[in-house]
Amino acid sequence: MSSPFARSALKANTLMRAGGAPMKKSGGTSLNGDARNDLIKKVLFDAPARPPVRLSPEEMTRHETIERAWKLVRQQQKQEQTEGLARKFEMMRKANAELEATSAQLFKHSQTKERHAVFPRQLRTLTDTPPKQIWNYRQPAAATPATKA
Amino acid sequence: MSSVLRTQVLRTAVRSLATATRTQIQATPARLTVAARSYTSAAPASAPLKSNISTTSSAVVSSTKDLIINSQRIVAGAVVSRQPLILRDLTPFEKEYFVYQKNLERDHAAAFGAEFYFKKGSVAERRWKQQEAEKQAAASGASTTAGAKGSKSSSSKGAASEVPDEVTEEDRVAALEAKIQFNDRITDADRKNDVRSLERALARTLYLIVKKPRDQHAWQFPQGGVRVCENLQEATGRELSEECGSNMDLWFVGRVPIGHYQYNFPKEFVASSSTPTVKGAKVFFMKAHIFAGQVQVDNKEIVDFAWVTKQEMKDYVTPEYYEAVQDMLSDF
Repeated sequence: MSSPFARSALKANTLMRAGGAPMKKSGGTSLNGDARNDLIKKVLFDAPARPPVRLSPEEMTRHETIERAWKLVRQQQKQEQTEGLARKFEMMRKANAELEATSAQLFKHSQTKERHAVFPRQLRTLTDTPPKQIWNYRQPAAATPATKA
Repeated sequence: MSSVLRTQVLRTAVRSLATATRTQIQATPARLTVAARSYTSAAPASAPLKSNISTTSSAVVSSTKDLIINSQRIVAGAVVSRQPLILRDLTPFEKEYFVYQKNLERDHAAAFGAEFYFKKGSVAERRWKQQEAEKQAAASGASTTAGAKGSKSSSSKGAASEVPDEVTEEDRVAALEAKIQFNDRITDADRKNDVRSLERALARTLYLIVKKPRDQHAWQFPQGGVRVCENLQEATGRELSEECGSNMDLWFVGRVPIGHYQYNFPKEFVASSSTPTVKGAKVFFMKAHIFAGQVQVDNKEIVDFAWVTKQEMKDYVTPEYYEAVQDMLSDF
C-alpha cells in the first residue's frame, strides 16, 4: 500500500531526521501543506510496532493448557461430525445396493443426475438471530396451482 | 490429416458452444425448466409446480397400479427436514475461550491511534475516552479500591462541570442514531413447546413425522406405495401432496434414496387384505427440504403431524423404527 512516492518521501524524512534536521511543520511532501496527510503517513508508516508478547512461565503454561483444551474440543467435534456423515453415507450406500437388487428401472433413474439442477435460492445462511417473519406459513391456494404466480 | 484434425476441432468447438448457449438459455432454476419440459398430455394437474420433481419419465398413460416385486410392495418414504435457521448456541467452554482470546488480543495489541480515528472534540471521541476511563477504573478497581474511588470522584467532578453541553450533544446524536433491535432466539413456539410449529428449535434440524389412525406403529415418516411406471422421486412427491397437502414449498435433494427399511405385514393383515400375495414392504427414503408452508392433514391416511428433532423422535416412533432410521438423520 506504500506508493513509490510515499516510500521516497519516508526515506527523505528519515534521512533528514538522522542528519539532525528538524521536522518541518508542514512536512517535506505534504500535499498543499495539509497536516492530515502527515497524520495519515504517520499512522501508516511510523506507527509503533506491536509490542512482543511477554508471558511469565505460569501464564505460559496456563495459555498452553487452554489452547490444548480448545484443540481437543475442536478435534472431538470434527470427529463426531465425520462419524455422523460416515453413518449417513453407509445408509445411503446400503439403500442404493438394495435398490439395485430390487428394480433396475428405479435404480437407473436414481443414478442419473438431473441435467440442469441448481441449488434452491431459499437455502438460508445461518444468522445469530432470526428474521422478523421467522416462517412463511403461506396460505393454501384455493384455485389450482397453475393459477398461482 | 490436417483436414481431419480441423473437422474434429470444429466439431468439439461447436459442441462446446452449443452446451454453453444451452446452459445460458436454461439458466432458470430446475423446477421451472422441468415443468416446462413436461411432454405428457396426462401430466398430473395436482403436481406442485414449485417442487423439482422430474416428470420426463412418466408414461403417457399414468397407471395407478402398485409396484410389487417379490411379494414386497415398493414404498417411497419422505424424510422432510426443516434446516436450522440460526447458529447453534455456544457451549460454556467456547464462550469462555472467546472471552479469553478477546482479552489476550486487547492486552497485547499495538497502540491505537485515537487522534487519527476520532475527530477532535466529537461525540465519538468523548465516548471513546469515557470507555477507556471505565476500563482503567475496572482494571485498577480490582487491585486497589481506594485508588479507584479517587479516580472515579475526579472523573465525575470533571463530567459535572461539562454536563450541560455534553448532555445536549449526546442526546442529539443519540436521537439521530437508529437503535438496532435483535429478535429473540427463543420463540413463542419454544416456550409453548408446540411440536407442530416450524418456528420451534431454530438452531436444530426438524424432521416431519406423521401419525396414522392406528394404535401400534402410529408415528412414522410419510410414505406411500410406488406405482408402476413411476420413479421414487415422483412417488414421494405425490404421496406428500396427498397426505400432507400441497401447501409446502419442498425441494428434493437429488434422486438418490438416503436409506431403506424392510418390514413384514402382520399375518392377520395379509390374510384380510385384497392382495394376500403381498407379504411385506420395502421403503426407500427420499430426502427433501421444506422452505415455506405447513402440513395439512387429510384426516384419512394421517391424522396428526409433528416437527421433531432426532432426539425427540425417540418419544414418538417405535424403537425398532428409530434404530432403522436414526443414521439418516442429523444429530444437530
